[in-house]
Amino acid sequence: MKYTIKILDTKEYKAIGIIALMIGVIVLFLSKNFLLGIKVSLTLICVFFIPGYALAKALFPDYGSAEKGIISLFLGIGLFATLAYILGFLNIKAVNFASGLTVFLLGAILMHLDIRNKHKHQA
Amino acid sequence: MILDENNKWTWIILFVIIALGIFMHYKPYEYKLLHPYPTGIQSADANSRVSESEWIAENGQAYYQPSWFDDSKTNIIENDPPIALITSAMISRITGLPAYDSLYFLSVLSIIGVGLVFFLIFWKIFHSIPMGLIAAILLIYPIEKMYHYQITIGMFPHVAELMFLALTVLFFLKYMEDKLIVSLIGLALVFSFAFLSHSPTPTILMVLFSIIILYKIIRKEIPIKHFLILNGIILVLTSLYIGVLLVNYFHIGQANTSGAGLSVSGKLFHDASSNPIKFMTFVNPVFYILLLLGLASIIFYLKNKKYRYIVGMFLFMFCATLLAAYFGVYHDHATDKSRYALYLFAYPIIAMGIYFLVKLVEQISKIKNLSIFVLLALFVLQIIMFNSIPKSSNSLMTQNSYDAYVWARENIPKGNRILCLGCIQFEGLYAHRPIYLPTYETDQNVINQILEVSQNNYTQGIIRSNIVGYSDERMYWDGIKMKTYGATPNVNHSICEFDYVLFKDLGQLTPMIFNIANKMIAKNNTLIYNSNNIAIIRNNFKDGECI
Repeated sequence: MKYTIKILDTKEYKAIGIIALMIGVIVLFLSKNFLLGIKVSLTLICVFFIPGYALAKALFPDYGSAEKGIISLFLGIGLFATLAYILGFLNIKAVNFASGLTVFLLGAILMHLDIRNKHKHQA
Repeated sequence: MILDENNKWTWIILFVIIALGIFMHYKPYEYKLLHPYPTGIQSADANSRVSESEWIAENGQAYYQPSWFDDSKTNIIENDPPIALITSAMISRITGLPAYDSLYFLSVLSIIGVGLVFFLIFWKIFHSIPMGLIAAILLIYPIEKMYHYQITIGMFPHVAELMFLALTVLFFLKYMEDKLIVSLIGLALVFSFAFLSHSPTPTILMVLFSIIILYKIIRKEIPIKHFLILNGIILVLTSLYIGVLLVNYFHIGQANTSGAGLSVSGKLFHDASSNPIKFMTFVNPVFYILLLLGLASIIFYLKNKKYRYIVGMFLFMFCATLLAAYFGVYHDHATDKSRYALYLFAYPIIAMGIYFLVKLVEQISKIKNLSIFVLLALFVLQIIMFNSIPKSSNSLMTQNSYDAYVWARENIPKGNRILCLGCIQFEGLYAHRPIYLPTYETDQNVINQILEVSQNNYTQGIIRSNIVGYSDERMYWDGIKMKTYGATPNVNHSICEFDYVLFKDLGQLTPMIFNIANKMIAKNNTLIYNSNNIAIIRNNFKDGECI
C-alpha cells in the first residue's frame, strides 16, 4: 500500500500562525514582562498547541484547519499531561518526543485503517 | 449578514469574546499573570493542590505526595488527579511562573476552552455558528455564581475537567454522527483526559454514553468491537490512576461524611459555605428561566435528534447529582463540587433557547439581522452581569505569611518539623516542611491548652495538634506489596517535640500565642525570624525542657 505523506498544507500553516500569534499577543499583554510573556507563549505553542494540532489532524480528517486549530491547545494539554503521568516523569523533551511518537503512531494506525476513504464512501 | 465560517466578522467576534474573556477573568488579579504570593485563592484545599504542583515541579514525578504532607515520607502514593497539577508544574518549570499563578492561568484557559469547544460543537455538529457564538458568550462569561466560584476558590482540577468534559461531548456527538473509529479513539482519549483531571463527573457521564452505545449495539447500528476498543483505550490510559482510586475506595470508604446529619433538603441544596441554603440561592431565577426556555424550544421546535443528546446529558447529570447526594455516593450532599458540571450542559441549552426565540421573533416581525443585534446585546449584558458577580481578590493568604513560609522553606533544614501557632488551614504547606497545626478552630480544648501553656509555668507545653496535609489513610509500596498508612493522628504533642515553632496573629488568641513565644525566648531558644508580627523560634532543647 502506498501512502503520500503531506505534513501540513498552506491553510494549516496560516491557521497555526494566526492562532500562535493570538496566544502570543494575549499572553504578552497579561505578563507585563516581555521575557516571561515569550516564555509562556512559546511553552503554550511548542509544548501544547503544535502536538495538539497534530493530534487534532489525526482525529479530525474531515475538519478544516480552523476547526482543528480551535481545540488543539486543549488536546495538547491532555496529551502531554497524560503521557507525563503514565511515563512517570516530567522531562519536557522526552514527553514531547513521546507525544510526537504517539501522534505519529496514531496517525499511521488510522491511515492503515483507511479511515479517510471509508468516510468519503459514507459521505 | 450571515455569520458563517467564510465571514471574517465571525472570527473577529470570536477573537473579541476570547480575548475579553481572558482579561475579565484576570480582573480580580489586576490583569497580571505574575503575583508575589498566592493572591485570590479563597479556599484551603486550593493551597494543598498548589503544594502538590510545586512538589511535582521540584521532583519531576507525580506518583507520590509531597514529603512535607506527612513527616518527610516520600513513598506515600498521590491520589489526587494528576492532569492540572502536572500541566501547571510543567509551565512553572519552564517559565518560572509560580504554581499558584500557572494553575490559575490554566483554569482561565480551561474556561475559555469550554466556550470554544461548544462553539465547535454548534458549528460542526449542529451547523449553527450564531448559536455557537451565543453558547461561547454564555460559557466564557458565566452569570451563575457557582460556576465562576470554582475558579475563585481554586478548584483547579475541577475546572480542567470541565474543558475535557466538553471535548468528550464533542467526540461523542461526532461519533454518533459518523460512527467512525477515528471519532471513537478521540472519545476514548478525551474521556481519559477528563477522568485524569477529576474522576467522578466523567464517570457519571460515561454511564450515560455506555447506555446509549450499548442500545445502538443491540440495534446493530454500532459493531460491538467499537465498544471494546473504547473501553480498551480508556483502561490502558487510566489504569494506573484507577488502581490508586480503587485501593483508596475499598479502604477508605465510598463517600466522605461532610454532609452527615443534614436533612434531605439540606443534602440536596447544600451550599459550599457548609450552611444549608435557601432554594433560591441554588436556583438563580434568570438562569433557570432561560434554561426552561431552552428545554421548551428543543422539545417543541427542534426535530434534530442531536439536540436531544445535550438535553439528555443535562437531565441525566441533574438526576445523577441529586440521587448521588441523596444516597451518599460520591459526596454526601450536592456541594458545588458535584453540581457545577450541570452548567456545562445548561448553558448550551440556554443558547439554543435564546437562538430559537430570536428566530421566532425574526419570523413574526420580519426584522432582518435581529440575531446579530441580539448577539451583541447579549455580549454586553453578559459582561455587565459577569462583572456583578462578587469576585474578591482577597486571599486566605497574606504577603507577610507567604514570605515567612518561603523563608522557612529556604532556611529550615529538610525534614525538620515545625509547630505553627496561628496558621490557617493548609497555608503552612508553603513552608515545604512537615508543619503541625492545633485544631483551635474546632476544638475548645485546644484553646484551653493554649491558655494553660501561656499562663502557667510548664517545661513542656502540651497542645493537641495534627500535621497539615491529609488525615485519611494513604497507600504506599513496601517492595511489591501495597500497604496502608494512617496519617499522623490529631493527638497531644509537647511543644518541645518540634524543631521550630512559628508564631502568627490569631485574633483573640494572639496575646497568649506571643506570650508563649516570649517564654521560649527567655528560656534561651533562638529567635531566627521576626518580621511583620510573625516569629520563628528554633527549639534548642529538643525533647527536653524548652519552655
